[in-house]
Amino acid sequence: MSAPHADQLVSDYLGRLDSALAGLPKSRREEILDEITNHIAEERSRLHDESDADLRNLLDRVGDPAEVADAARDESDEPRLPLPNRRIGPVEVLALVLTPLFWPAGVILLWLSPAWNLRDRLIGSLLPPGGYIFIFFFLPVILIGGLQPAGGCGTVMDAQGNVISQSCTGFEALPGWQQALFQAAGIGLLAFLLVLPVLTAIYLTYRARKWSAETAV
Amino acid sequence: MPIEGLATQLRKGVIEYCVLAMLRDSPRYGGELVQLLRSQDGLLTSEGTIYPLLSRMRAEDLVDTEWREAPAGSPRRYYRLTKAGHRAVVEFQREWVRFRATVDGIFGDRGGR
Repeated sequence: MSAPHADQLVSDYLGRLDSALAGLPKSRREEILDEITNHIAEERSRLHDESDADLRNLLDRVGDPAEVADAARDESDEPRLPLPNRRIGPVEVLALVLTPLFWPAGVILLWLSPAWNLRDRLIGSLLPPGGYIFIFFFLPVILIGGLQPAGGCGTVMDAQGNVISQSCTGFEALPGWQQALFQAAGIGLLAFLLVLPVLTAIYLTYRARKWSAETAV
Repeated sequence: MPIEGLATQLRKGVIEYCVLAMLRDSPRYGGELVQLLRSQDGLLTSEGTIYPLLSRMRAEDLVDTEWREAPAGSPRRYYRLTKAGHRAVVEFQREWVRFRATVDGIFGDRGGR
């Protein structure tokens, strides 16, 4: 006959084992728990007259859950990564804030933190290189130099100030609709560059959150 | 090193190969291996620790597993040696014979005192 709270003893034991195995890869943990559950069930079926004492002896033989879990950790080829190591900490937060605003410091932290892989780090460093510093200092130069190419209009006037002829070169020589197109493209590029560091920061935040969630097995 | 620590270290070094050797002739399930080990003094202190060991050996492809129906109750997971497992047993045996001869040669016939 089964002692009244025999099942309770076993499920308490398995509960303690389950918590002790926390931090191991999920498949490994389930496999061990499964096998030990079956092992206990088989051993119980061999007991003729299951007393509390018999059952406690049986569980003692199986071993202290902490000891089994220690053995599992020793056997696990996964590196032991305690959960705190994969929390988003001050380094990650600073990296996320500084990468768009103060690029050099942000990027250094980005490469130091384990939260990002090579692809993430390259994206963070190069989209755009320099962050907002680059945009505010160098963009006007590029816009003026690149999108409004050298050119202008020359006007020839007679002695009375009447326009005789007007000739334009370069950008100014283009038809009006093409000028408008160039300006629209310039504004579009400017807007894109202004939001790009924010998009990169959002992406990096998403990646860091994914990284920290990976150990929650 | 305290003598208890010594026994633990020795056990850790050999138990894996003892389990593999027990699978040489036929596949066995965990409970069966535990019973075999129980009769060997000092090899297995906590029976539950064999399952992490089996799980790791499966991950390393030294054994593979197969579910089989039990006469009663839920199906059992049987462990079976793979080719790599067979090789490991043979290599261990060769090493062990040499190692034991060396140690015995140093201790001579003064063992046990």
